[in-house]
Amino acid sequence: MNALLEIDDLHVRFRSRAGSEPVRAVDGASFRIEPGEIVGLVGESGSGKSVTARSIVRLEEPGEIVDGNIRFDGRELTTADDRTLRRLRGRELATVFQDPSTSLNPVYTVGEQIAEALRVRSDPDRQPFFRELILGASSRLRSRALRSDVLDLMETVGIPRPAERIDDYPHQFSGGMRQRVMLAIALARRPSVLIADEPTTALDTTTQAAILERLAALNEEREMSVLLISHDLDVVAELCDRLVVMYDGTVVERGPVDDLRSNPAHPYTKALLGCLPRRSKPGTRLPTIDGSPSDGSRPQNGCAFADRCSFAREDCYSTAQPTVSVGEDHTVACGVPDARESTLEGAAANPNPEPESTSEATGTATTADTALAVDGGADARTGERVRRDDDPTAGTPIVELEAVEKSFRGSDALLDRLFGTDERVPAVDGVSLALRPGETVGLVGESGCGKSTLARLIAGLEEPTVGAVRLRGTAVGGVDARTDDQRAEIGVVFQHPGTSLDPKRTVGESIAEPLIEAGWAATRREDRVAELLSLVDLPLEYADRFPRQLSGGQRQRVAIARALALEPSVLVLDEPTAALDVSTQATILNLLADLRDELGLACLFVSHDLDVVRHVADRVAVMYLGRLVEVGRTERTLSNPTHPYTATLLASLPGDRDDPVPTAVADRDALAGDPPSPTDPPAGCAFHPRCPVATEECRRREPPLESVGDGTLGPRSRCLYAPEWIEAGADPPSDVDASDPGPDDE
Amino acid sequence: MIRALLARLGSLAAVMATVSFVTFGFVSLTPGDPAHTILREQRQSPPSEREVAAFRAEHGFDEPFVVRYFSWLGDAVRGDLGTSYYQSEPVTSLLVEHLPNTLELALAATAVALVVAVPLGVVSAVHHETWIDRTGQIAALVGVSMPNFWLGYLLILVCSLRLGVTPVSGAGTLSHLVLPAITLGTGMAAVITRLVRTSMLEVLEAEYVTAARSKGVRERLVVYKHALRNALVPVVTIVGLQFGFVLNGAVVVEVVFQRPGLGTLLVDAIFARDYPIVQGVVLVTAFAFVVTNQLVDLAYVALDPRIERGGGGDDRR
Repeated sequence: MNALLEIDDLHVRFRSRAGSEPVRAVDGASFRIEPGEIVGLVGESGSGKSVTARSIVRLEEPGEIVDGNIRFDGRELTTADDRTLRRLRGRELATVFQDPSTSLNPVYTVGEQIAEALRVRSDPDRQPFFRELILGASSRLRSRALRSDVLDLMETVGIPRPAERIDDYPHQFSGGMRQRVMLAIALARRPSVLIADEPTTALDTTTQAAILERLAALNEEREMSVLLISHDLDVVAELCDRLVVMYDGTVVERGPVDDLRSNPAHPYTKALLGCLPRRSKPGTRLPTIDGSPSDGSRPQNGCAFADRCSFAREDCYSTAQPTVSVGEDHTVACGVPDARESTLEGAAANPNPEPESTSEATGTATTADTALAVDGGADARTGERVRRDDDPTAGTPIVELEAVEKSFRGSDALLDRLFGTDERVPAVDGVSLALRPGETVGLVGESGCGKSTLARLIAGLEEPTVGAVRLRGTAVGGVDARTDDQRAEIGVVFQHPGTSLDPKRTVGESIAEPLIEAGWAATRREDRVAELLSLVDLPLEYADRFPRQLSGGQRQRVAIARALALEPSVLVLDEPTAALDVSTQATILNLLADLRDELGLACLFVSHDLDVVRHVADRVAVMYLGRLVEVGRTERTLSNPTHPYTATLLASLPGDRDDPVPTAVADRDALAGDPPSPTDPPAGCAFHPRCPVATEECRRREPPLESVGDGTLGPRSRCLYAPEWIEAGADPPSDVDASDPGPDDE
Repeated sequence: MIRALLARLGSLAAVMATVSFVTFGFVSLTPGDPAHTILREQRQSPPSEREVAAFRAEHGFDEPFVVRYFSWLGDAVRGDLGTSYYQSEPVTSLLVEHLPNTLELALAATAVALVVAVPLGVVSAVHHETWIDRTGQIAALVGVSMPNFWLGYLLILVCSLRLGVTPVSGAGTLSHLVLPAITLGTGMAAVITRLVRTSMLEVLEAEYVTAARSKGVRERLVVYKHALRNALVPVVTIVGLQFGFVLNGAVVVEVVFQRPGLGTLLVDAIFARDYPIVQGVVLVTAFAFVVTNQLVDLAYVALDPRIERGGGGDDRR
């Protein structure tokens, strides 16, 4: 065997507080990486995949490698000394971390940070102390030779106009560009293995696509091996040669990517694939994985997944599972033939009908005995939800936005305010949108497009600069200006339940907070908290727990319960599942769908994930640079977009598609650059610099948001060529782009 | 840039105006009549009503408060802080005479504090929860708790009287400066050590520190290049604030070491109710405090590029 990197029976533990069992983060993981190969390491959070990756470069602190071997090119790393490790990190094993907003040092220019990697590479043993300190203190990279090397690297990873950006600081870059800088730092070492730990999880889908593309290209050009870690199987699948699936610190399945995806053998792999929204029919319930991910603290004999596995037999709990070969180079740690051979659908539908029926029961029970005020829109709870495909203009809207504009101050200086010379940065620009009872509107767009601001405007957390937000026909201001009844109408759920819940309050206190504000009596509050907990499928005893004792998904349930406390008719959800694992996401999306149907809620679902939006939304509104560029019914808009921006967003989605996206814009690098700055929007159509089919006309004229095709029922689009998009269906307008010298921004 | 500077100066002027008003007001509100006190001292017997009235007229005490304040302020802006009741010398020249000594002491004390505290704090943080860390922590606790007049006398006892390496009192040479600077710097060093330690502990957990290690950067550089600069931002704030306390501490230390300086000038003036001097010293101290904190703001910009540079809509996350 000539593996470049080999991990053999690795055990990593975390010492926990005195007295308790150490946490077993990695519990016997083994896999290998061949030269030039891309291996995907997949699993939920807590599966030990990140710890494994960090152990390879021996940055497992505060963990501790207690057993097993890590061999790189024949050298043993678990016992290597500091000097050897420095050499390996500086020249052979490069790492890219998950969140580029925290992994770059904020006080040094990106040029210096890339150059540092180059200097370390050229001489890992020396690194003169004072020279390095002095070089760091300079705000400009001086050495000319180094400068040109750094510029080359920045160019390689696709940073536009590197010469202008080399002396900028990390905070002056967007998330995607920062991750490219991280990639440049990694490449500076000309590594033989690149370890990328969730490199795109913190990024938009468009940016994700561009970064992954870049990784694949680099792998090809440089014959560099890549270990790509992700919680989303489909994201890595496209790129990888082989996949390794981890659960609770052990490898449960590994094999070549195609074989593993078409014939997943381990029930956990099947469950992971099944719970992806893009694999389910929109509006249906997503298959979920029962139970919560293991936290690795309990001692185990037998299969770690048995608790959550619908095929589990007696002996699964007591004896270690054999590793079975199910194909060429494809092995699985599961001893139950039925489980291995069942299909994806079979795995999802198998035994365990329990969750469906219990939630059904609690569902009806709560509706019956809490008598929640529900006004229309509650469709019968069938397996498949009746989507509101009827006339979108029918029904009285609960919330209406009328040409809403919101801009923020560019600077805080007193003099600027006195003289009125401050720049206003527009975040939302002339948006009109209506939300009707029982309807879910998905609001999509890249980071910084203003979608969160729009959500905050509806919730009253911001007040519009121009225009009006109407609630049941009455213009409402910010939260302070709203009446109690108006405040009760709208519930809000934020992205990070970890930070939106007060860590010092119990779950019960957090949920009761809006009730106290509304002046409910203590006994009534207690009853309501109990109702709400059962509504979000949490046991009653959770009322006394603190947020830190809950998993991410459970915290988000609490946040949803709090949002529902005052029986709102509108729910504003700002990226409610973006911070969650795919398996947890599935359960939360199911819960939201149930609640919406039971309570007849109108939902604004803000997300950058088109697959999620496709699954939950009746209508989609696509936002770009503060403006809506396309609004329409979900199925229509996401299969026949009438704006090139929507088409580009669709093209950037990961995974194989049954219905490939109509695309003139197959070139995913189209969105590689950043969106233009909102302080200085481009003339004409705001999207033209990044639009693959822009014409001269697009540079001059900004089209309004107009209905396309069949009158009021049809989509509305802000593209000059919208009618052609409609006619062409899957094909792009053909007569454009011949005369176009090409967008000037990448 | 120019606009930012103007804004700075504007706020500086506003702060100084407030300080001057408060200073002047408080001194005027202090019980005890300087006319009586000073005249009695001069004549060694209670003064007559007429003498008191004449003294008041001479020093403008019979004017209304607001008139006195503005005439004092007008003079102060032109650099005239009045005349000492006692020594009949302009306050400004007294200040000019005494200020350099105090400034020298304050700067030396701050330097001593930083030289000791920053490395000690870093080492404590790096060797978190080992005997090194605990020893450092205890030393810092002792440093904070020790009254500086006591430490001053202790140092005089050991260094000057026993060992005879430094002069007991006075000012002028570097050897005169050593003991007062150590005395005054110790308390400050203790506070800064603890702060550097806490701040470093936090920064060492940051992802970019791990990222630096993953680049193969030497541990010493990871600590001093990547972590320390980030950890110093909160430290600079405290150093700025502490500088004000150092000026206060100088009062005691100058008395202990009998150094001529603002401290000794102030103490004498308070006992003698020599208001113009008290006002002058307080004003100068406040001015120094405000200027220091402006410098601190500039230090932020040097340490952390996220402040004041870039700004605007550049930061898209």
